[in-house]
Amino acid sequence: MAAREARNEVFVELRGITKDYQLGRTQVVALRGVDLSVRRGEFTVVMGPSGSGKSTLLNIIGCLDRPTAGSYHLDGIPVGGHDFDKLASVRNEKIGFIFQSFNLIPVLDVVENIEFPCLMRKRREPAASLRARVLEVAADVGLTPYLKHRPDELSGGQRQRVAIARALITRPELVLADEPTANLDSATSEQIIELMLKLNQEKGVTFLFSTHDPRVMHHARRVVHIADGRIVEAPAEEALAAPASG
Amino acid sequence: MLPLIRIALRNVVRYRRRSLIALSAVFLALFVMVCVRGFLNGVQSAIREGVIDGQTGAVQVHRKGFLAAMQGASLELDVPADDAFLSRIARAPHVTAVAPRILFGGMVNANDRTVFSLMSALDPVREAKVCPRRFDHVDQGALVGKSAPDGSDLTGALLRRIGARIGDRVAVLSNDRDGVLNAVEVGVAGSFPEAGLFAADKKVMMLPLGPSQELLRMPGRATEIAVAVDDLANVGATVAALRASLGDEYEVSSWHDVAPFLDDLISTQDAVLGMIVNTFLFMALLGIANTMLMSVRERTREIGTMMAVGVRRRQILALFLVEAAILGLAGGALGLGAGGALIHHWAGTGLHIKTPASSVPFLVHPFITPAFIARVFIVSTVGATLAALYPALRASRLRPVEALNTAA
Ligand SMILES: Nc1ncnc2c1ncn2[C@@H]1O[C@H](COP(=O)(O)OP(=O)(O)OP(=O)(O)O)[C@@H](O)[C@H]1O
Ligand SMILES: [Mg+2]
Repeated sequence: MAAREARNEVFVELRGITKDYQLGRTQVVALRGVDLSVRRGEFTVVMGPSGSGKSTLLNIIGCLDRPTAGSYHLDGIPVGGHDFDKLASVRNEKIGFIFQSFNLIPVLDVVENIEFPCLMRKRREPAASLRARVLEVAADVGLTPYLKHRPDELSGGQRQRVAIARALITRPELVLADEPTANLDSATSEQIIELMLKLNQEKGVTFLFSTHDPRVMHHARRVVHIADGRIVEAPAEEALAAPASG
Repeated sequence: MLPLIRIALRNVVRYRRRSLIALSAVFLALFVMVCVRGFLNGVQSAIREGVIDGQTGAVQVHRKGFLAAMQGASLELDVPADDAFLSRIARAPHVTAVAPRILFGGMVNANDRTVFSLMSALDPVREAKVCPRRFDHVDQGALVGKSAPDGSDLTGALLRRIGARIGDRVAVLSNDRDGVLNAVEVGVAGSFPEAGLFAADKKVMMLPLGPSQELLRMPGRATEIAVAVDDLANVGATVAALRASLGDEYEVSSWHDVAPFLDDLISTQDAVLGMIVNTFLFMALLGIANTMLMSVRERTREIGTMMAVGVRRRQILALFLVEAAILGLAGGALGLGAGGALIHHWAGTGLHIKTPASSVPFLVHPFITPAFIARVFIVSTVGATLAALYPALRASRLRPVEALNTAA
């Protein structure tokens, strides 16, 4: 652990990242030169209107997608040249994902969903120690009463807690959450955000969180605004959205 | 690997209807495969035994060149039929019985009518041990040599042509080796139906060896020694041993050589069976491939999720292959179970089959071999796995972001 502290404090470093999509004859530019650094232990919110490029940015940071141009260093290592399986193990070991639509595996119960990323590793930890960690993480996110439930037996908020636990079980350096509250009612959203904040403060989990909901902003230590594929200074949009929250 | 098997198993259960369709296809294919194979095994072994136990014997010994010469016209190519020679043959491994025969063409005469006929001169006691079913079809009167030393059996057609009845005496005429026409008188002891399954000739006569040797002026000689073995699987060993011990003067043939039509018939039947079974199997595997394609399409987002949490391409591939293998294995087991049960039932009761070639129905005991069961299992499981290769490859080659963005 001490060795890890000694390494790069900046975990994510994007320089001049662009992303184009080719839609038939037309070219859609989703990101137009993004520079962004994320440090360990941060709780960062990426804010921007629909279509501004939030998901595209998070997918690139999460090694799910490759940028069209620009450089990306993850933990000081350029990941541009990694092949699929190498990226897969980077995702498995260093990154946790929380999705807008939960994306649990329907045939697995809560415990099995949480432990799944660890079971897919080449080198597996002993079942007993994994089981103990699963129970601990499940307790951290408040799922202890539901361990044997399948996803279709859980509410949206509970499902997202499973997803958070699944993201945490691998002890990732960074958890990416793309609009994790978009499918939840506002009370549940609050609880999920509070849970993530608590995990950030108490366990030091690094979060990068995207949303277009300005209410979330109040919780964030650091807000990165994105508009039309570019990082911008606190935009007018914030003022526009303010009445909605008040 | 284990968690993937767990997920695959649960998906088979979860998508019940789709799995059932794929399972039924494999089940049906294997059921048909087992039933047809089992039935055909029974038919083929009945045919083989009918010919071997009723006509040829498992192995035959002749004078060198006998089979190449015109059969029946080769009295010169004779062999000893004395006890010394017969026991020399009987000492070969796996031999259970030996029987000397003379096959020749001749005429039967009674009531001023003379008819050409095919003659089989037999030693009734020895013949019954080598070809126990030869006399099965004698349905009237007594067997050759049974009621009287010269008692003979004729086909019904032959008896009608010469206007004779059981109990009458008839003259048998034939040329001996020197071309001299001789005659001998024998009794009519019994008759058998005109067409046995493989004796399509309507004019056939079985008569005792003794009077025939007298007629043909070849005492103590025969043209053929038929040999029975303990198990047809040992025919090769017996043939080899006899060739070694009898030397160049004689030729030793297995039933494959003397009844080549049997092997032809069996391989033709097998080819037809293969076509039927492969058609069913092909349909079943198409069913599996389609099921897996649907599965991959419906679970695209799940695949994307798995990729996001770090599942490697090979593991995605394995997931779908395992799922197909489960379907193939389960469908195979069910098909094999049901088909096997039916075959087992038929094996117990026996099936009476009437063929156009025979007025006598013959009894078939279907069976399947352990090797066939193993092969069926492998074919259904490996086949299903291979059928899922394309869908599984498609799944494993999905791009994570696109898979994740697919509507569930
Ligand atoms: N696979 C794709 N093919 C073509 N264009 C795409 C693709 N994915 C995203 N885009 C485009 O890129 C731009 C950014 O999309 P992105 O999904 O990153 O936005 P977002 O900020 O996440 O929006 P939302 O809040 O609606 O989720 C949009 O104009 C979108 O239409
Ligand atoms: Mg988005």
